[in-house]
Amino acid sequence: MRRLLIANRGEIAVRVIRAARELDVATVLVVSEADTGSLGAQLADETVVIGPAPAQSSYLSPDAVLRAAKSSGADAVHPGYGFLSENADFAERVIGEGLTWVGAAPASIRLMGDKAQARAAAQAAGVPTVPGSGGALPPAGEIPADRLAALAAEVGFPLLVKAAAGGGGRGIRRVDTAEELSAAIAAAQGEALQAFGNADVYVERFIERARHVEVQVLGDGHEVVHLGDRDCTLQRRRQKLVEEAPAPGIPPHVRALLHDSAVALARSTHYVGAGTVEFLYDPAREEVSFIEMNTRLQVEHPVTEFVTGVDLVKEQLRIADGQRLRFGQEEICFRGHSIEVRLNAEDPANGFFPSPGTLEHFDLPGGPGVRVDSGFRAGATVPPFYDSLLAKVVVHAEDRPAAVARALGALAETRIDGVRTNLAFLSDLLRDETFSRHEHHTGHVETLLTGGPR
Amino acid sequence: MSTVEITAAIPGVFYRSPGPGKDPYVQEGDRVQAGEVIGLTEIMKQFAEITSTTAGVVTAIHVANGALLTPGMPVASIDVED
Repeated sequence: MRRLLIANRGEIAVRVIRAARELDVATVLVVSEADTGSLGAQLADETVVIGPAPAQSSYLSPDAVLRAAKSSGADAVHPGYGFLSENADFAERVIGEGLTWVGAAPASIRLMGDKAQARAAAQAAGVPTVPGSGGALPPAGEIPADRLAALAAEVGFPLLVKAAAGGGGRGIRRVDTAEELSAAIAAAQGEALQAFGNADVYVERFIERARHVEVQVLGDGHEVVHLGDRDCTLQRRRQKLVEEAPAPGIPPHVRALLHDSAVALARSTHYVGAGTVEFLYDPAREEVSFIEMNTRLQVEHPVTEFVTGVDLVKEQLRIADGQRLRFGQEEICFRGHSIEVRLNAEDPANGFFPSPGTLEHFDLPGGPGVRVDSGFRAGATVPPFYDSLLAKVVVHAEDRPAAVARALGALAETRIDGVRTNLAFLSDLLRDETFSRHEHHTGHVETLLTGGPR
Repeated sequence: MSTVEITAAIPGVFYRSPGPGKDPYVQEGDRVQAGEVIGLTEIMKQFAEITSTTAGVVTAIHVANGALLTPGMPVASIDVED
């Protein structure tokens, strides 16, 4: 690998440029017309303007990115996260052009991108999954009463009826009693047909106070190791806000099951590259269940880097270049606690509405155990076209309370003017007693915001 | 008869319909009510509705689907019967 094209923007483009530079690999960054002055564009060895501001005609256009790869003489493509990173067809085209794809094999992306297939793969690898119907149910009127009763008994209440074509929280219906189940399935099938043009629905246990826990894996096609777990429970509208490693308060036998499950799933698919296996953790039952596997680098990868000392992006580049893993499982050590908060350009006083603009002040924190990953510098313009992430403020300290204190200190040092930010809100979350006691769940942020019962 | 200009309040990408392949919210010649949605602005992966400030007839839509909006830019003209 001599010349790496980065098909992304913002902080993750900068992150990949830094890793490539350390490995003496030249970088080509694709930019939209809105990003020609970005920090990434300043740091890359070459930039190629691939289209207008809307992502659909730039960062999401396989043709535009491949043209840039050819014209710039790149021999590898790193997709970052989001955009084309989990597009199996794009990955196939990159490989078909004779370029190195810094990511999972297209077959892995495809497998994990299909909810039903991913669940089947998890079950085949002995990974616990959320109790449910698995595949799509027949039309409600055609389900025999005894089959419905058996399903209800296995899944338990409350349960969710979910549209197979839904996602991002859409097409989900909660059912609390067995009496309502048949009618709810019928209604959900009708709604799914209306909303998604596909009437397939399935049934799944609803875990009321679940935590979102995930495991980082690295595979080289032969061997798979895990790099421990992360907790990303604090979310708003399914956007993660605070992430930490390790996940706090997980019983040792559950943690071992998480790690073993993630490795077993990755191993069973001969996984190549960095991936994340996501689970729901039910503290009441002390049970974990597989949700999905993300076949790419995650936004929150720095917390894992802090507690393991492994540079995940450099390892991605080495693996893509055909190298074997440089360490075995027993060589990976975990030290201390790391917390990441996502500083976003959004206005908490206005329903977290996006707040693009010009960064008149952009004073970021420093000091021991503080890392900031950002795609911006003072004076830069935050364009309205992409996500609202301004910076990831990541800290590392000896234990969780020390990490919380360090994160609060880092946020107190931060001053941003010119756009509205969630800075104060992040501090409130870190000071929240429910979070301190790690009794939070995936609905906690919404509960706090609506002032409801905790 | 007077003409009211509906202008963009926030920057972003303009969409005339609620989704790809869906019918536009309004066409030129359509009668609209005050508060009726005439388009969407996509800003940082969120969608905000652009609504008519008045009742009347849409005489022009000035921005193409997928084009960029800047605050203050005219989006549509509406003829109001006095």
